[in-house]
Amino acid sequence: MPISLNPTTFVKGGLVSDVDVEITSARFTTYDYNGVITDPQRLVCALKLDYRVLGDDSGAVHTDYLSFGKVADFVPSDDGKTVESVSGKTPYQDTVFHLFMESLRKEGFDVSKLDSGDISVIDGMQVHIKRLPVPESWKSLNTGKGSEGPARERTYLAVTKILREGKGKAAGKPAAASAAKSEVSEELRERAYSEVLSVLSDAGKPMKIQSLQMMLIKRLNKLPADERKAVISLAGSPEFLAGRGFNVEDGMVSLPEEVPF
Amino acid sequence: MRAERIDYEFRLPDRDPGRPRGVHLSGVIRAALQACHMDPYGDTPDAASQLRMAVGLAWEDWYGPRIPNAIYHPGTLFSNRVYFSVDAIDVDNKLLHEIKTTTSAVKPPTENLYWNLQLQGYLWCLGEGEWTRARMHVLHIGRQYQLAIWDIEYSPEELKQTWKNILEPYIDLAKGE
Repeated sequence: MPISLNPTTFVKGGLVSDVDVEITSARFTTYDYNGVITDPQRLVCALKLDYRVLGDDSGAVHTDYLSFGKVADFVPSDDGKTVESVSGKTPYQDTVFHLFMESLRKEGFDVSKLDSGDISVIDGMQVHIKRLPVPESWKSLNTGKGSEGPARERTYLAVTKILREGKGKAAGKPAAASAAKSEVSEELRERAYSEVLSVLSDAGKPMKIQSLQMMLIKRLNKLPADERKAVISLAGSPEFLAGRGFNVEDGMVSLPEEVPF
Repeated sequence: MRAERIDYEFRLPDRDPGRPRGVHLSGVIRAALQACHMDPYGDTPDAASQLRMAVGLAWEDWYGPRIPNAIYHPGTLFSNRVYFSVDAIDVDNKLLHEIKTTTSAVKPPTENLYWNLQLQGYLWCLGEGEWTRARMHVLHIGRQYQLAIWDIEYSPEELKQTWKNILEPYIDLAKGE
């Protein structure tokens, strides 16, 4: 059957950015990057985020797929509202899904609503979105094989303002008292990640966490004391290391089997 | 001339909010001592204790960065399932530095059970027998101020025994932070 040629039914090309949108549906799904991935082991569990641009009455719905992890590790539920870990792994921080959710959190979204695992709580939210450059450490890990011409800057979808919570609640930042334990800046977290990556790459084998920290103490002795302390402390946190994709077991840490995507 | 004492109650601020959540060695030591009804600190330090602690922290912050060849407050370390935060370390010489302030008389720091367990716990976690030496910098603020610096060395065997027999069994009983 021929498709409609009515111009009002056409969707926008390129990436939507720097606009106010309403999230019409957020559901997990398996994703093959539009047919690029054919190996089932490499299929991705992703959040399919549908949204419409506020003020655009054409009915056009835009979709972004935010990668969550490999389906070998994570599978969406039948209704797409939740994800299950089939390998026992904890979700990685180095995913565009995590970056997106972090941007929501930074804008004051009450992330405790996500404790149940139901992503549909963000349905109906009105937010301002923007494409932001991915963290510096991702750039060295993603070489963009196969592309010709100048490389396009890799970006991710971020929320830069919450206009309205889902289900009509007014937006607002949480009280300082309820904020998480003292925040270490994203820059220092990235520094910790890249230092750990570098030491483990040099070592070429798993290390005891305490040995890793000793190497970093020596290596970072020129760093301002507060920054060094923060980086060393992060490097000693099994939670941080596992969250960044490193393998942590019995006080040992090793490189991820694959680079993050 | 008029002088009026202002009503003010000093309270120590909460611990470093950046401390990782989980079991810290200090909690393990306290759990071990509490099991023997020997916890020297109790849960709620009184006003005088809090002021003494504040003086100790202030001294530590001034003195610590001035210890030669040592890195002051390197960060929270992790080993043997516990977090721990040493005052300063000299990584090249595998030397632990601890800074204390006390109103008690000068005596070997190893006679203080808490300090002794702390040193041994830190050293074991730092190197599981490879770190055996500590330098204790003790400021005595009794009638006569004194700074006593002690070099202490343990054998790897006694560090292992203290860890295995006294501290490690209390990891699961210690309160997480």
